[in-house]
Amino acid sequence: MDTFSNLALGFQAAMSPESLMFCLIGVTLGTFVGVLPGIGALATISMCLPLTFYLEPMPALVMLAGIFYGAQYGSSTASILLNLPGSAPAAITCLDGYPMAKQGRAGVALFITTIASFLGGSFSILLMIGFAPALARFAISFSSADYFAIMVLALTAASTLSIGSVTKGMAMVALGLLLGLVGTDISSGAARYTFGMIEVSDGVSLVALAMGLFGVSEILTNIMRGDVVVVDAKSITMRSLMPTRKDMKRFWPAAGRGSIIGAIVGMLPGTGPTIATFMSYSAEKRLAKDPSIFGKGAIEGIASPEAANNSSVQAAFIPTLTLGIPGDAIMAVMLGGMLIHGITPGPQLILENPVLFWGVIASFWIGNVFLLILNIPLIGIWVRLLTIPYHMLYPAMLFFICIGVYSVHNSTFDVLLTLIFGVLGFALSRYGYSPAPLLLGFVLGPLLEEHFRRALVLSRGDLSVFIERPISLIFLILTSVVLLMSVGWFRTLVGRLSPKRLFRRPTNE
Amino acid sequence: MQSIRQNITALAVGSIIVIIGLAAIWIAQDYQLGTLTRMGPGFFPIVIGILVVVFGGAAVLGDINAEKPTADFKFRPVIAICAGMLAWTLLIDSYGILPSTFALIGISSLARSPFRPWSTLALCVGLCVAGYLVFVVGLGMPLTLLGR
Repeated sequence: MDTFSNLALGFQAAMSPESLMFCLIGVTLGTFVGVLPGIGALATISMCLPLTFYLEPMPALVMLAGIFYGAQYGSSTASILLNLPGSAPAAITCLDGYPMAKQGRAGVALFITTIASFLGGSFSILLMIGFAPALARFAISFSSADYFAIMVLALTAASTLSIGSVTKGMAMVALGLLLGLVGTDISSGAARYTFGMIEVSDGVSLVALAMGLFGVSEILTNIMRGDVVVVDAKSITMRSLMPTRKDMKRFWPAAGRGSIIGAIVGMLPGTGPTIATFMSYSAEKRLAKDPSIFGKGAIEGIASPEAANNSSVQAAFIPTLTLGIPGDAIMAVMLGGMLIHGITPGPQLILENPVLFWGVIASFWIGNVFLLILNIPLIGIWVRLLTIPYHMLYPAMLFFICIGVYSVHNSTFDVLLTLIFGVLGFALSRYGYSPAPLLLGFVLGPLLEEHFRRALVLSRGDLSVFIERPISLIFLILTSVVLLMSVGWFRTLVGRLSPKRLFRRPTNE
Repeated sequence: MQSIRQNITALAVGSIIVIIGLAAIWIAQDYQLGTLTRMGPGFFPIVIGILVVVFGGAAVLGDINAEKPTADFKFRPVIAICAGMLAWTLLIDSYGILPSTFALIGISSLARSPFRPWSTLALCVGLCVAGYLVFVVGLGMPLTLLGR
């Protein structure tokens, strides 16, 4: 009963003209950058973060979240039409989406992925409505030691479950933690790693770091890669979207399984949508009566990962909003954005600011409905976006990066910092050091230190506090499990599905 | 020969992380360490610094048989983009949006050949107008189109 009245409250807040408008702006922008390969949701969210300083917290959060899940809808378009993922999680959609396009069924593939996205998103929103308040109530009893253990799990999972070398992921997390230390120490007031520069006394700017690592660095990577293939935009008509009855019969169970896998993966700390899509694809392949259809345009091969993608994206808000612990880099930026707006996500948020909490959840649903409308009748417009040449796109992105970073403190120092992080991020990611774990470490670093210190003050310096509390112990055990898994079967699984092999394989036969 | 050079670059990039970690530990020696009960500002930096060195070192060791990156490295894009952004930061405060944006777009467009003067010019004009409307008129940022 309580949930319904809360939800009504939320919808009331989310239906206000201002919230509706920013929700629409967010999801449209999200779809826009999702469709375009080479601009990710993370770069866009950090580009828009300074703009939201002028807004109230609620529309700001609604818009930023809209960019995030909107981008997941859009990202499958380029995967299907160009065999080039619009963003990392959509890489798996190339496997069966592009063969479908080659068979002249691009429209059907686009339709299926949109519906699957909507189902996955809705599933996790429902889950969030049912589950988040209970989790928050439970999380109120968490102590500093527990929070520390959860964050250790999140950081370990983020670095080991990603694609690529485990040690590189760990090194990037540690580097992120180190960067997070820059600035004034909150407990003692001592300046650390500031080198006497007043500009970093409040710490390295999150916007500058994110824009450098995910904006400038991506641009450099894309320019090196060279030209993108051309797309035949006119072939996508309303009529071509309609799937056959046989398609739909194969679609429903796959989308259902994808939604569930995505929700579970999304809720776990340290795992993002990319892992959700990989896991759901391999699950489909294992469940299928005839696994040989995969890679040749199987409906299951796009329905399940797309559902998992959106389901995990929405579910990722559960730990971020109720515990204040983001699961991946994008959520870390969202958390940073909330903190800038004076919202402290955590178990108290639901009680102290119910309108905001429920309003944001209600806006997710509204946003998903918007996306359904944007992506089915208007798909032709988005497809045409793929014809924008990159030589027009990247200078425009650079301009928005520069002015966006500058606008935070009106300082050119931050722009220079962005440039440095951009070049550094480019060099590192070229050699397999993924920047996402670094960003997560950067945001979690200060929290990690604070909870570690507080736990030890309370225990009078006794380190056993971390294994004496059951919750903390459970999460530390989970951390060791994740570490063990990363050397064992999981690596072979991910290795078998690694994007490099995926794209090298001829996709037409 | 090519693969040996590639390996050395991979190792050099990884070593940057180790060097940053070592520097962090070295600098942190000036911060108060404290005790486990009352940790000083130096405790965490040293622990994290050690983690950076350990994991970074392990990553470098694992890179001895590194694969070649998929795309070729070119100096031109890096130089063009760095120069463009540098020009923007030098010009924005005293000369305003118009010159800084023209410099940024003009220089960064050189990152890829061929250089297209007309579309670049159109892009400059379009971005200046959009940027001015959104950031100065819309958000009230203290910037001007031209000059201080």
